[in-house]
Amino acid sequence: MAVKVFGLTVFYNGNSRPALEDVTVEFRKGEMVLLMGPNGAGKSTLIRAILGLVRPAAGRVEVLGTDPARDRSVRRRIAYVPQARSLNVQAPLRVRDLVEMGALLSPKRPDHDGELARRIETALESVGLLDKINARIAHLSGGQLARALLARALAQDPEIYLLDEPFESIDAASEAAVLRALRSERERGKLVLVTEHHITDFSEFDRIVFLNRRVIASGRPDEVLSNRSVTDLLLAGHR
Amino acid sequence: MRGLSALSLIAVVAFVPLLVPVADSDVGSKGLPTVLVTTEVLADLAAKVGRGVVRVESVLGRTSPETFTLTPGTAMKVADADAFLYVGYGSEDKVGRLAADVRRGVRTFRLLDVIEGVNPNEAFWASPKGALKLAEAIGLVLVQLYPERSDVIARNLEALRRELSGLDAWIRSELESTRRPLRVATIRPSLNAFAREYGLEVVARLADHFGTYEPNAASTLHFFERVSGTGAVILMEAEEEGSTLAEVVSANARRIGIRLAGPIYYERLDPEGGISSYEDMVRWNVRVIASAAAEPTEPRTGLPLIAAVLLPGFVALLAVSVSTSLVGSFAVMRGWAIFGDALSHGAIAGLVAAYLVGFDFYLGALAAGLVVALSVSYLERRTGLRGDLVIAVTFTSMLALAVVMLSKSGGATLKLEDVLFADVTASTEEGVLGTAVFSLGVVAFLLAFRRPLLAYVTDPYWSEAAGIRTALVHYALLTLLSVTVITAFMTVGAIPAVASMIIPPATALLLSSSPRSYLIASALIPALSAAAGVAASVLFDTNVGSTVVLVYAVTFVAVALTRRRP
Repeated sequence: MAVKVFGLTVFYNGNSRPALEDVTVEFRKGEMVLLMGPNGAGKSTLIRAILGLVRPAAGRVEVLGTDPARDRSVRRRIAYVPQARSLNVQAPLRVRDLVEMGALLSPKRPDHDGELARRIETALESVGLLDKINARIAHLSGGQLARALLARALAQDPEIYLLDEPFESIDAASEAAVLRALRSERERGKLVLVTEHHITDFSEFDRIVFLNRRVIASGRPDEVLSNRSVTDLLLAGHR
Repeated sequence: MRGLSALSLIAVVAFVPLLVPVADSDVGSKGLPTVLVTTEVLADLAAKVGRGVVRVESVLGRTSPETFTLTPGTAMKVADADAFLYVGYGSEDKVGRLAADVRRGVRTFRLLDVIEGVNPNEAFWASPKGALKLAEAIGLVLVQLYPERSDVIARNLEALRRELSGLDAWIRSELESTRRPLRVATIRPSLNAFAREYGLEVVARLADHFGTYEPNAASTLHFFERVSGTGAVILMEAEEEGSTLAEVVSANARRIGIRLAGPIYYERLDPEGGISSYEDMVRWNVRVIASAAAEPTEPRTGLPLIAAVLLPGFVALLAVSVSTSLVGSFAVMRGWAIFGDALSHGAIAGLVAAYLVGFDFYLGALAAGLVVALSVSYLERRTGLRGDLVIAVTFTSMLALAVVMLSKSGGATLKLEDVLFADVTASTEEGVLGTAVFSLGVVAFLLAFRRPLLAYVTDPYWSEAAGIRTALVHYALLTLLSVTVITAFMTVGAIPAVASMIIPPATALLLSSSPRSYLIASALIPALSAAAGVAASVLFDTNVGSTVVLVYAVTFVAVALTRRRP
């Protein structure tokens, strides 16, 4: 089991209402899971808990057999892909520099420049962005930036991928490229966990975990999406 | 001399009515009417002329005319006085005009308007002959105001004339036996009139007026060129104590090997130091001049003068601008561009507080800078308001605090201009060495931790997830930024310090596509600008720090106009 979450309850400072309440859920290696739920459902909190960045009020989190809040080294084995808008695109970074950040964080860090360059190129090739290797990140489109951020995660060669709304405002071609790369990582036995609050292409995912502070439903996409509570919440979100 | 004075007295009496818009004959009910004057020296002379007729008070006291601010209390006092007198030179003239505004011109007299044959840009009253002219002008005004007491005023003036004549004889005998030529240099034109009268030679003065003056490398250099080789001793004015001008003169004089003496006085008295009247002041000055003349000195520097004056300042400028720019290169990416303003304004409050309690200036500024940095950081998180808003709130408040502290300080001689435009030619060798070592430390730290710093400033969420201790990086960068900007602030002044943090990194952002080229550009731009700025300031006779800032700005504009958007 890659990630185990037991009875997790999280409060943010001063809030009397928990961000997550008694959440128990498990994620296996070689599984591609879509973490869904309306805004404020606690998707990002769950991701932060898996990274060991929040202090639980109750319950615990185990990642690759260890507590990520205590054992910081486990974070090298998790690749986090933030939303593209969290990146300062004014920074003087080329796509190459961005992907290098992931490669240097890797538990299997390249030990010479040639290997580092190969790792960067391979990652960019996987997302179809090799031709932009020397482009400055400020010159990328939204979709290209999302692919570059995924390439950084690929270069890290982690065991777990955590992607925070990667399909937010990207073009269809980029979405396809991202999904293709993620599928290939799942086949290599990696856990891929993607959060999204709006409806997307569910067919690629093995499982959907629907969250609204608690786990509302968890199972095959068709099962979860036929759940009455889930459809009500989804419809409410779209009204 | 007496005949001439009487003639001039009659001549100017004719003009006095033109100078008095309204002649209010109301006399203060409690004892004698109060006449308010600007400086302590003027107060002493006016008190002698008006003895038994008026009560005289100095509005400035120990405050320099340059730092004088009109508080409500002072304004009331100025408005309530029966008359206001000022000489009308340099910054003292500004004080007089402020008072005239408060009084709507009523019974406000600018004495230089009725004195003839003096140079208004010199402390003409520093010699007894000049003092007599000033006293006669005061007499004219008092006779105009209180004609019924003209006999008393005339007697007082006659007594003062005798006193000044005795003082004149004493000066001649004191200076008679001194070695000639008797050469001196001063910061302000405080001794020129005195020198003409008593055969001294003022070989140079740094500022040729008593107004606000920004020191610059070229004039500093010219000053020392004129002083060195003449055997002159530099006499420091007490009124300049603690000013950048005084620092520029003393640091370079020590470096070149020119002797400093003093202080001499022209405006302020020092009762604790035994100088409680005009006569005491003149006697003190003459003794200082006589003893300084006894042992002239020759410059002992091995360096050419231009190097001795400019090199230490250039090294200091180079060190702080490069280190500040490199810290700034990370800070501006984090969106902290205007943070430097908050720090420098905070530092001004710290400086003033340190000045008032007699604490070390650097530590005072540093402590205030850190308080600002941590408050901004705390308030930003506590309120959730945008960083620029919190920064703006903080630095405006700190500047106001500094000004309030200054206006409550009474005898403050700390000038805000001196803080804003420190002059690098005032750098001492120890200071330069300390600055260079500090800057190298900053650069080494930044290079060693460039990866986590870069990750944090470009992608904080990813960095946190990647196991980088972002809170530690945040506070480390904030602290380093504060310490570096404050050190730059104390070395080159507020404006060059803040500009070094912002403009070279902004230019580097336009020029670079990789982190490596960005950091190289962030170090090279300030280094080359420092060299170009020092050269330009000598060429165009301008303040070094501000010239360097203009070089930054020109470079930025040139790059912005030729490069496409990053």
